[in-house]
Amino acid sequence: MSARTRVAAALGSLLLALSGCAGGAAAADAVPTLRWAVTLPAHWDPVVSGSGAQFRILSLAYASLTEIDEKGAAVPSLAESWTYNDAGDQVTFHLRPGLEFSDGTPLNADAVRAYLTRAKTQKDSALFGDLTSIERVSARGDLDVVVDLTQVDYQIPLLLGERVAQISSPAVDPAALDRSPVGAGPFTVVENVPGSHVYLTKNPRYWDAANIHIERVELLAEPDPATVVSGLQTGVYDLANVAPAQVKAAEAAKLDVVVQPGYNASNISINVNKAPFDDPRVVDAVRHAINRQEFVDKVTFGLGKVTDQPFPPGYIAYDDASANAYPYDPARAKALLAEAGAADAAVDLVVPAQSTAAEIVQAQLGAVGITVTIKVDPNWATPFFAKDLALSLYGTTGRESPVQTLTAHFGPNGPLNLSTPYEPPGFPAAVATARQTPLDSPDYQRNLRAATRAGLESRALVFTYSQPNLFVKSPRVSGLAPIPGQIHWTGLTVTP
Amino acid sequence: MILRILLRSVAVFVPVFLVATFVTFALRALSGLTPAHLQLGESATPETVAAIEREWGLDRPFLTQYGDWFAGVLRGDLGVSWYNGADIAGLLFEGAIVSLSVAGLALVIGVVLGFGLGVLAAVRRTTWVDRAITGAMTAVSVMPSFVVGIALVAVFAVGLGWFPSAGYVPADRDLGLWLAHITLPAVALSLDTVADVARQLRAGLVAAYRENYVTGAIVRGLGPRRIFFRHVLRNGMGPALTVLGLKFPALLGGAVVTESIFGMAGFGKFAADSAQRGDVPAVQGVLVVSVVLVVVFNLLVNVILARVTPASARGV
Repeated sequence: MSARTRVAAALGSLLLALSGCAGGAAAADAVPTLRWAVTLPAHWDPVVSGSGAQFRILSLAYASLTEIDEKGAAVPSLAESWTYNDAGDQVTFHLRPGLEFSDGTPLNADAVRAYLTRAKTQKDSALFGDLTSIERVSARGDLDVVVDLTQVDYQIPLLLGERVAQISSPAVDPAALDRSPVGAGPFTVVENVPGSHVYLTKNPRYWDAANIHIERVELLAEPDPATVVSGLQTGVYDLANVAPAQVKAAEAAKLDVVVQPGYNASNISINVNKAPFDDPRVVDAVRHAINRQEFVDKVTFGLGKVTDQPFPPGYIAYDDASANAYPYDPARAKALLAEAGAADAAVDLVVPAQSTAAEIVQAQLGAVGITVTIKVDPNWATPFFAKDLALSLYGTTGRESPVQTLTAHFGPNGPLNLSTPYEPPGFPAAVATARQTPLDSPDYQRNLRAATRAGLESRALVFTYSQPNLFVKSPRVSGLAPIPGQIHWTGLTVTP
Repeated sequence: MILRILLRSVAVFVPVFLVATFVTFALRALSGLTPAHLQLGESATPETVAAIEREWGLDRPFLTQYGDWFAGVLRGDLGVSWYNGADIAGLLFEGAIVSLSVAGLALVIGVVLGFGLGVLAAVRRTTWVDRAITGAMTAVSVMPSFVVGIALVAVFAVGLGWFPSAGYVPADRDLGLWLAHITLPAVALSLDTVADVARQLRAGLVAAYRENYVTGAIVRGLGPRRIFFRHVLRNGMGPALTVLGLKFPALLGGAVVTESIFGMAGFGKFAADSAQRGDVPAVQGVLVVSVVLVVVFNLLVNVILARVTPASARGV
């Protein structure tokens, strides 16, 4: 064989190999498989993983004490039911009988007690701040988990849902759990390569396994937003998070865009302990200078909603009476600034990454005479949570418990209150009333909205817009239940 | 001679490596980045931040930390990621296999097409073939791999369905699927190399054709094929080889973009993600491995260059 024919032969076999596997990725699956392109969770121990939206992914591997339904009310999961004592400072969760973790360890009251205690005490727990209402957890018999509270608090069944109480096996060391989870969820992790992929298979020991129709889930590191849609079009993925900018492309490709309701709300965080915001008139000027519709148009591409509260409009705790309390009025803002003697105010807006929202804030405040300098600081979290910044931006993914969302934003120790320890005067009493109102009481919604109204007196936060959780899925995947903030795997099917 | 090249490379490598690692390590201290917020999120208070920093040993003197880390590097231990606590050496190894698959194929495409087109242009110099190739190469060299990647996906994955649009399958699981997955990213990544190698080779060969020894060979009646392989190619390919040596770091760097477009968990994506998260130990690991890879590749090119054009080894 001459050199030339050898090269030709090699090229030929290369082409053969390529054509042989063309379309290989789209080949029919032997078992119903869901391929989900996501930002892979850094931690699989729910105690360490904590807040943020990762609990949605962890819910594949872990079952939680309660879940929420489409209206946002707590419904049974591992706990079949729960009962409060008359005083309202103790709640007992009644577990389903015969529960097991995926490794066969019994999931009994003691396992739940061990988990909640760990969440309160583990050194790197990201949940301890959520559990301040809980004084002590104890097991009564095999099935009853008794939770003693530090105060009357009817929010506990909401609080101990997916985000905070994804119960892990007590038989596994937490460090090992973080790498390879052992829960009682619908799926079991069988392969985990951090940053690359995680493979899960159906867990036959899940309490509701009969209603799980997917046999295998593959979590794949998501590609650049520009190629997410083509990945779904070619069958590489079945489900992915999608950026607002890609929604039109997804619809054009005849994929399903899922607008999943959520509790998300974005805000401008203000520190009233720092100049120029130590003058309430400057804060009011900011409130009047903000045109929320511009955020909805340019950040969410019209998919979001304006909101001036830490909830989207329509939510149970959204207070209609407070809506648009500070309408967009740049002339008024200018007047207020002049009155405060701050017509040439200048302030640094410190954010973790360059964003459209930061530029909109800069432009809108600039229009009324506040010079905003955007500073991108990768180390932003340190000064933000130490409350050292004068002006910043934050967005919450929300909480199942509306009271918790309120205290996180307006409470004196709230992580999202940049003006700690400042809180509006009427807020502690109003939020205590809301907390002490049973969820099925006819007064619940009224008391909740009153607490929101009291919180919104806070000068520390100007809410801007709310964006729903956006997913794009292949038509082969059945519809996702519109449950705010969560994804439920029960009943979901994938057509091979 | 090869031994001398090796020794000289080591002599360059050691100080470069020391300075580079020391500087990146110092960057952590200067940046003030800590693992605390990656772990604590909204629960971060100054006290918990301090506790986490103590746990990671960040409250110790700078030189002690550097010394410990460097000793680990020499043992092949790059520490654990702040972000997910995973072993960095292991993650980098996994990622490097993906990236080297793509960069390797890109290099093969770059060499084959670059040399082919460069030689063709040089042999048919000043004809329309030459002009067409030179023009096309100039156009290709300014196309960013980001755009090319998206275009390739649109045409060959979505439009024609010939290749998967994203993902990676290890070669030991299925060789055909492996090749299918790395082809589009490798093509996107290779264009720049093809263009540069072709243009450098054409220029080198055309210059060599003008040399007196070529005229002499023609006068002596040697065949055109023998003149090309013996005299022109050997003497004219030096610049193209040197460019190839410089291309390898660019291929690794370009992988950031192609891996992101094609959803591959490679070295480049790992580097970019780690840098964005402020995962300092991971970025330091990336640096160590990059320096080693680039030096080793340059060494290889230097050895080849010394074999092909002996003058280069003498520093002429």
